[in-house]
Amino acid sequence: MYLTLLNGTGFVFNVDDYMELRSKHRIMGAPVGTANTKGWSPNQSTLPVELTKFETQLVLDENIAKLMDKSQDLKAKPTAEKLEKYKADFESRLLGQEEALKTEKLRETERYMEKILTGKRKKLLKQGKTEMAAALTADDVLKEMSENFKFDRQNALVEVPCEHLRNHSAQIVTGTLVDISCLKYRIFKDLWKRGKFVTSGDAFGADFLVYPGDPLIYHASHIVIVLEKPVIKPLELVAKVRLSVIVNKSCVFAFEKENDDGIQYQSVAWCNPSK
Amino acid sequence: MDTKTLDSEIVEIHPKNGYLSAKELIAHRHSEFEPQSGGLKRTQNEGTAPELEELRRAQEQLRAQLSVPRIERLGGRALAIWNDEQKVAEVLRKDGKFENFGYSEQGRLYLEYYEAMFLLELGRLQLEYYGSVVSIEQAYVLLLGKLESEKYTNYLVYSALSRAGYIVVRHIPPEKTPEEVTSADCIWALLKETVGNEPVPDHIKTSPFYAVVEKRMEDIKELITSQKTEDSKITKESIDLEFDSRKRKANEKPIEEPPSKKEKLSIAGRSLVDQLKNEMSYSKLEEIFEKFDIIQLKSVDDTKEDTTELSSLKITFDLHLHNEGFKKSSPKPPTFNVIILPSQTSFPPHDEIAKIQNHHTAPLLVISVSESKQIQAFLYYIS
Amino acid sequence: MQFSFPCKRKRCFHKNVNYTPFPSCENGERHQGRFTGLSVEIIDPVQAKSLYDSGCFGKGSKSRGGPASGDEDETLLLGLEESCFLAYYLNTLEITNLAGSSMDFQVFLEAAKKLNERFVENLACYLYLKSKNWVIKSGIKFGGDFLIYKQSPRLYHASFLVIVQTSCDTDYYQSKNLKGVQRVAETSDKDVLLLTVHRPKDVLSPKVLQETTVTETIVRRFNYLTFVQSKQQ
Repeated sequence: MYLTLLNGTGFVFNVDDYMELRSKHRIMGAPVGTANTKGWSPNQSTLPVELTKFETQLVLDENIAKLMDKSQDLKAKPTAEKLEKYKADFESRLLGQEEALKTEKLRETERYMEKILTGKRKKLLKQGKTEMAAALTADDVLKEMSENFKFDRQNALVEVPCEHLRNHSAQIVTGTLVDISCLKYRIFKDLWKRGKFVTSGDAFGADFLVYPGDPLIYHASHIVIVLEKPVIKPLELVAKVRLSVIVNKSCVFAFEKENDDGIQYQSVAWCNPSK
Repeated sequence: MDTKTLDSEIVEIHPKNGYLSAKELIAHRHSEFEPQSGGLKRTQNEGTAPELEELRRAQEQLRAQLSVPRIERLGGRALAIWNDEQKVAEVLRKDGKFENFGYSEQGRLYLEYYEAMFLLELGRLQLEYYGSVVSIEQAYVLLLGKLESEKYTNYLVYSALSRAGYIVVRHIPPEKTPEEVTSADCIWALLKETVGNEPVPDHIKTSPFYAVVEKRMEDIKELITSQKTEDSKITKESIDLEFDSRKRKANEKPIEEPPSKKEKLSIAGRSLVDQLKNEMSYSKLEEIFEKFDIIQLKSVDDTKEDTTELSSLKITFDLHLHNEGFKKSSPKPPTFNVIILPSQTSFPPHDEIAKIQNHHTAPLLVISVSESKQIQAFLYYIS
Repeated sequence: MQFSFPCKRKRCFHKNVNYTPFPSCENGERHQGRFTGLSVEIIDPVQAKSLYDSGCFGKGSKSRGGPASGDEDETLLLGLEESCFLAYYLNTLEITNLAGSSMDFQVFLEAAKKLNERFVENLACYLYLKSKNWVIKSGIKFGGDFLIYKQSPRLYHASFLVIVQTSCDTDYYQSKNLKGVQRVAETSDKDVLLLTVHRPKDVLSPKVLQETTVTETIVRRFNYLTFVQSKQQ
C-alpha cells in the first residue's frame, strides 16, 4: 500500500486502502476532503483521509505501507508523447459513451413515454393530422429518437477521480517523520499494540482517546493524558478527571518512571465518599 | 521531519482501478448518498455476532459514503487552468453561481488555491494542467503541496465555513481612511465647512447620509432665519445625531464627539463582570465595597504608542453573510475577522487580542483546528 | 458581539430577600477563627451561622454548603482568601494559630503562600471580584480557582469559573487546556473567566495590593453553524 506525502504526513486517496487501514490495522486518520453530495451535513468530510504524523510513522514502522513523494512527477510537464496519449485516452473515453448515452436517452424516453405520446399526438392533431395522431405508438417515438440522436461531445460525462488513475512515478520517503523515542509516540504505539483504536483527544483537552473497537459503533472508553514527568499539579489533576466525568470516560494518566523503561498507566476516578 | 526523497528509490505506480466505464458513468451520475442515522454506540467490545454484523454494515455504509464519484457533463462544469508558478487557477469558463468566487485582474478571472480546491471537490470545477484533467490527488500535490503548510488548515476552515453558509474571502485590512461615515460625521463636516471654511472631504460627500443631512441642516437654518415659530414637520424629524448608536455598558461619560469606531467592541476600561453593582445590596453598602476596591482593571490608554503596535496574529479570512448584499467590488465591513489556529498552537493571550481590536472593528472569531480535524470557533471578550 | 450573561436562578423555596453581603461584628467583637494549617476554622456555631448567612462565607465541615448537618461537632471552614479578606480588609475576623496567638497580615500571608504559591494573585482576584459584589467559592471541583455567584449558591447557579493567572503564565492558553476547561464549564452552563494579575513583587501590608492590576479575558465557544442558519431566515 502507498500513502501520498502531503502536508508533511501521509494521505490516503483510495477507498479500499483506507477501509483496509481502518478495519485491518486500526488506523483511523481523519477525512479532510469536501464532500460533494447533498446528503451530507456541513461538518462531514470525505476522502482524502489525512493521517496524523504518529499514525503515518506507525504505519511505516509496522511495514503496513510506504510513504511516497509524488510531487516531482505530478508537477512535471508531460512529454509530448505522454500528452498525446492522455488526450487520446480522454477522447476515446468520451466518444465511447455515444452508445451508452443513446441507450440512456432511449431509456429516459421510455420512462416519460406517456407524456411524450400525449404531447406528440396533440401536436399532430393541431396540424390536422388526425390519422397520424391515432396511429402513433411508443415504438414509433423510440425509433424516431434513435434515428435523430446526435452525439454531442459536451454531453459526454467526465469523471474527476479522487486517486490519480494515470500511471505515474513517485519517490519513496525514507527516514522518520517524528522523533520515535519521544514519550508521546511510544505511548501511542503501546496503546495501539494493545489492540485499541487510538485517536487524538485534543478537541477535548486530552492527549489520546482510546476505543475498544471501531469508533463507528463503539464509544471511546478512555481519555489518556500524557505526563512528561510523573508529576502533576493538583488543580490540573482535578480538571482532567472532571473532564473525564463529563464526557463519561475513564481518565488515565500515562507516564514513565525515572530510570525505568516501561510506560505506566494510572487511572483516576471521581468518587463520592459519602455514598 | 527527518526524511529524504532526493536520492531514494523511484517507483512506478500503476493504479489498480481504472476509469469508470461509460455504463458506470451513467449509472452513478446522480448517485447521492443517504446517511442512515446510526443506532446507539456500544461501550463494550465482546466480539459477538450481532456486533460484528453491526460493524460490517456500518463499514459498508462508510465505504459507500467515501466512494461517491464526481461525475458531470463535459460542458456542465466551470473550467480553469492551474498556473503553478503563480499558484493560482485561471478561469476559462464559469458555471452557474460564480459571483462570490475569484478575483479579477487585467480582465481575467482567477481563483485562489482554496477556492479552486473547494470547487473542484464539490464537482463544480474541471481543473486542467498541461492539457489534461487534474485528479483530486494531483490537485492536492499542486495546490496544497507536500510540505507541512498552513494551506491545509486554511482550506479546511474555508471549506467548513463556506458549506455552513458564509461568504469567505481573503482578509482585507481596513483602510486608514476608514470607517463608515455616519450621519453624525456628515453633520460635523458640514459645520466645519460653514464655520471653519474647511471643505467637506470626499469620502463624506459620497456617503448616502450626506444629501439627507445637508437638506435637513438647510431646513433648520431656514427655520431659524425665517423665525417661524411652528413647523411641527421639521421638529419631529429632528436630526438623529445617533451619538449613542453603539451599544455600550452603563456608566458612560457624557460624550461631546461622535464616538470613534475603535471603541465599538473593545470595551476597554470597562469590566466584564460589573453587573452585580446594579444590585440593591451593592448600593446600600457602597461605602464598604469601595473600601476594598483597590485592585484596578488594567487600562489601555489609546494615546500610548503601544496601541499602534501590530499583533503577531494573522487574520486570514473575512466572513460575510449571504443576504446582506455582498459585492466583491465594494465590500462592506465583514461580519467577522477570522484567525486560524492550527493544532497544538496556543490561544492568543489578552494583549494580542487587544492589539488586534485596536485596528479592526469586526468581531474576532478564533478558529481552532484540532489534530482530529475538528473545527471549533471561539469568541473573545476582553477588558 | 455584545457580551451578555444571564444569572441563572435556581428553583428554591426560601426567597432570601434580605441579602446581606457582609457579616457585621456583634458588639464590636470580631469573629474568632483558628488557622489549622489548611483552612481557618470557626468553632462557635453562632459565629459560624453569622458568617455563612451574611455573604456565604465558608463551608460546613460536614455539609455540602453551610453548616447544616445538625451535628454538634460541625464547624465552619473558611478558605484562605476569604479569611484574609474578613480579617484584614473587613476587620470582622481575628485569626489565631493553633497555639492561640493572633496572626497578623504578614504572618498569615507567609503561611498561606506555603500552601499555595500563588496566594497573592488569588487574593488580588478575590478582592477584585468581591468589590463587585460577587460571592466567591472554591472552583476546585471544576479544575479552576474560583466559582463566582450572584448572591448565593443556593439561589443562583455559578456564573463564572475563574482561573487566576500570573502575568507570565501561559498554561491555560495551550489549546488543549483551554478547550478542556471550556468544555467542563460549558456543560454546566458557565463561562470561563481568565484573570491575569500584574502585581508588585512584595506585599507587606494589605494596602500594597493597590498597585495591582488585572486584565479580564472571557473565551466562549461560538456555534458558527447555528449562527449563520439563524441569519438565513
